[in-house]
Amino acid sequence: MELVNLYGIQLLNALWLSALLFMLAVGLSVVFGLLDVLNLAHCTLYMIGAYIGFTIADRLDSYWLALLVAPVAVTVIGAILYLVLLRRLRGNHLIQALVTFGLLFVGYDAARMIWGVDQFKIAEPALLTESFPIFGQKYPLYRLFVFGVGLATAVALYVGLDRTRLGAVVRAGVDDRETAAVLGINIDRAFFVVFCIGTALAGFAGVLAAPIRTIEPGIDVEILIPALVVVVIGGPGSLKGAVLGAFIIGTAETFGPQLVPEFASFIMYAVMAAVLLVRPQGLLPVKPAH
Amino acid sequence: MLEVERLRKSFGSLLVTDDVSLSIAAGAREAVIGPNGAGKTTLFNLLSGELRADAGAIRLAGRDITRLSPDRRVSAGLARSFQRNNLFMGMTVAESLATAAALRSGESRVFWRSFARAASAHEKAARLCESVGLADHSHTLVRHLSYGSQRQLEIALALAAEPRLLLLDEPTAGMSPEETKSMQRLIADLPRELTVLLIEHDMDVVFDVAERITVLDYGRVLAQGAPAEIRRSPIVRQIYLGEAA
Amino acid sequence: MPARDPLSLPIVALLFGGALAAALFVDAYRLTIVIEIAILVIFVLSIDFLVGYAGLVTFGHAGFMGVGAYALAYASHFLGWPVGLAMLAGVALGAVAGIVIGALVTRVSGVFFIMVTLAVSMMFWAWASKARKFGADDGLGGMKRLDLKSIGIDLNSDRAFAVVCVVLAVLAYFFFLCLVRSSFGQALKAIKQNENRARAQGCPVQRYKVAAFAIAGAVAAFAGELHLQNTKFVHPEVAHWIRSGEGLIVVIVGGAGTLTGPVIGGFLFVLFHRIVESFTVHWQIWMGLLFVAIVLAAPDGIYGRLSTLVGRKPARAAPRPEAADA
Repeated sequence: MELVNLYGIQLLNALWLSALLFMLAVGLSVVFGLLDVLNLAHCTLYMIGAYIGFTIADRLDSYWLALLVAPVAVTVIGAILYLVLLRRLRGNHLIQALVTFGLLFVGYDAARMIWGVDQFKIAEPALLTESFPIFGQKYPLYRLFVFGVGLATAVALYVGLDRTRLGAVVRAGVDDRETAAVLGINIDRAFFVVFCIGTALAGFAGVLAAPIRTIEPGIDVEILIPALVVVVIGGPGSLKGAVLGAFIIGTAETFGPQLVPEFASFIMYAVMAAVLLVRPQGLLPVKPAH
Repeated sequence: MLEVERLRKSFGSLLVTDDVSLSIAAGAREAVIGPNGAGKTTLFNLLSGELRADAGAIRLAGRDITRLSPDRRVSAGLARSFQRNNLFMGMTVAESLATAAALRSGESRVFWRSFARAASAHEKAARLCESVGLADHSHTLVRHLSYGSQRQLEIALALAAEPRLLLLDEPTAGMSPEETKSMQRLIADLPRELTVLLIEHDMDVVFDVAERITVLDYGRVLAQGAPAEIRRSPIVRQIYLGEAA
Repeated sequence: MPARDPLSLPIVALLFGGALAAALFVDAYRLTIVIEIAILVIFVLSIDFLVGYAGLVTFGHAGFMGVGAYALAYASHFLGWPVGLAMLAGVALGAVAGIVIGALVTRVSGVFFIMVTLAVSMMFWAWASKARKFGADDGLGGMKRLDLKSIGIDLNSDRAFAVVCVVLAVLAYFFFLCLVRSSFGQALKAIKQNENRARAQGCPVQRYKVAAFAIAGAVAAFAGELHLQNTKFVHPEVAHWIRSGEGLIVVIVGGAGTLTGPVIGGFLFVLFHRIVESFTVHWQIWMGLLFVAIVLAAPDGIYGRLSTLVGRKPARAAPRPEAADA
């Protein structure tokens, strides 16, 4: 019974972490799969979202306002970044990676400059401060809320991809970029919208995670690595891959320190290595392997 | 020299190579022809190892090379030129050939001696330059070469691998009539011991060079035989004339 | 054969000569700058070998410095081995790590390669940050320097250490120069320019890439060992992504694929860092911005630009990653 309780709690933890990783990885993955843009600064936007969210929550004393406004602010920043910089670099992965890597440095320091090196946290909204008993403990409702949001996002994205015109364009573009462009579908506008959605999700994730994880400089790279691993093992450009990958890594990162504390930091990399050895195109790739 | 037994390859539900069998004697001059999309280059890719066959076997001089990687097939005696120029654009002609020679001889494993001192590789490169008619351009950067010269280099590189079986994928693709004539002479001058299999669209070249022709369509061998037979074959006329209509 | 580059030797001679002179004559504070430059140059030369010559753009090369530093710390501090032997062990371990990592990461290409190299280096950092034996996040002090008293050199004197480091940097430069000019180096050049063709010419491409990784890993491990002996302290930050990033920035800004470029870059980077740092603690933002500007405006780097201006070589296009996967 004790064991069930213990694992039960950890499972809930794994779920919320998976949801967070999913929201980050999906933006990174689809943007890469569709636009062929590797945005290493994606998680910097996550960090900025958390910081802006904190500032709003702090000044205006409202979590919900932060949750609403921060993603918008982050999207604006992302949009500017895309229009001014990233759009011109499409196709040359190396330059993109280098430029966005440089932006990682800029973001890291900019965060320190504006907000200092202190650790912050956003308070949970009044509505969700309850904990309720499950698995022999009182589990925070907020974490389940985050999981719920992640799930809803996955469903919404899936439906959007499947049912909307934009979704059709995205699917066509991921499948065969050149043909889609030649067919005259306004691919550029679709790209831009997709990029903005991905960015918004990153900012959104930043605020969602803030009451649970601290906000400080360096959290961007801290989460970038798991997000990258999720993209690699799920398969770039794949929504389902992002879900599966996020769940695998979220579970590994939660249960790892519990079960094998000595090797906890290795587990995620071991999983990535295993996937690379066996299925380098990812577990649920968009295109089936030849 | 080359035995191909019931080779199959599919991409998803698309069958691109359908039970292809071939048997080529040493020193032969054979051509593979067929309409666009017949699977000719795919066949070459299967032979050279760029693609893995789903089923079937490939034997080179009796040795089973079906599961070998492309580089191992080169040591087994196979080399190819590509349909679209696939060169070392940033090197000079002589340099590319010397590099290829060094790769073939194992010289490229040497990390203590300067490449400039690899005399045998450079000599071989010079000889190859001469024999394909690129001697005037030996110090030109590949990216500055004319298209025709680049096609010549394609073949020279394949020859640098000292093959027993040479696969030429549309050697005259995109060439002017004079360039085509040069290429024809080049191929005719290849050593007799070398087995040559080429894909070609230019029928003049095919009938000039080939002793035997294999016709492919939809990944299947449609007809095989001497040039005269093929020219007369109704099936072949159908697919080519049907194509033109 | 491509013409020898007559600009490189004078520039390198000037820089290293200057460093040597500085090592012999400047004050204690400036000595630390010289040592930092020398060690960084060794590190970035190994990166340029991978990036500029083998076409393997690694975003996590500092991981190998970590391997070298921690191996040295373990062997000399915990096992009590003589430092010289421990250093050899560290370099060997760096080579082994290079082989393992190389074999793994070369299974993917293009973007994935970048992602994976970054992730793998952070794996080491994550381990080091939790490794209690080595003081985890705080690190561990009391590391020893190599004992060369038998040949009359006391490396505990920073001046002697600085001179030795500069000499080692010069040796590293010539080591890589030899390597890239060799037939092996020529094969790497072929792989970088057209991997597919190299393979079609019989080159076992993956094996060569792994070999390149092994060499680069071993040299970076050596740089990590020097770093350890410089600070006499072992700390996870030696393997952090920021260090990898700085190394990559130095190579790109200096000019990838030239060896001379990274040397110039190494000097400029340390000097830039020290100068900006004296004005503001936020030097990374300026470096990041400068880096982005250079990548966009002059992707062949400072030395690349210089060579073009002087007319020694045709302008190079922006560096391209290795052939993308399907």
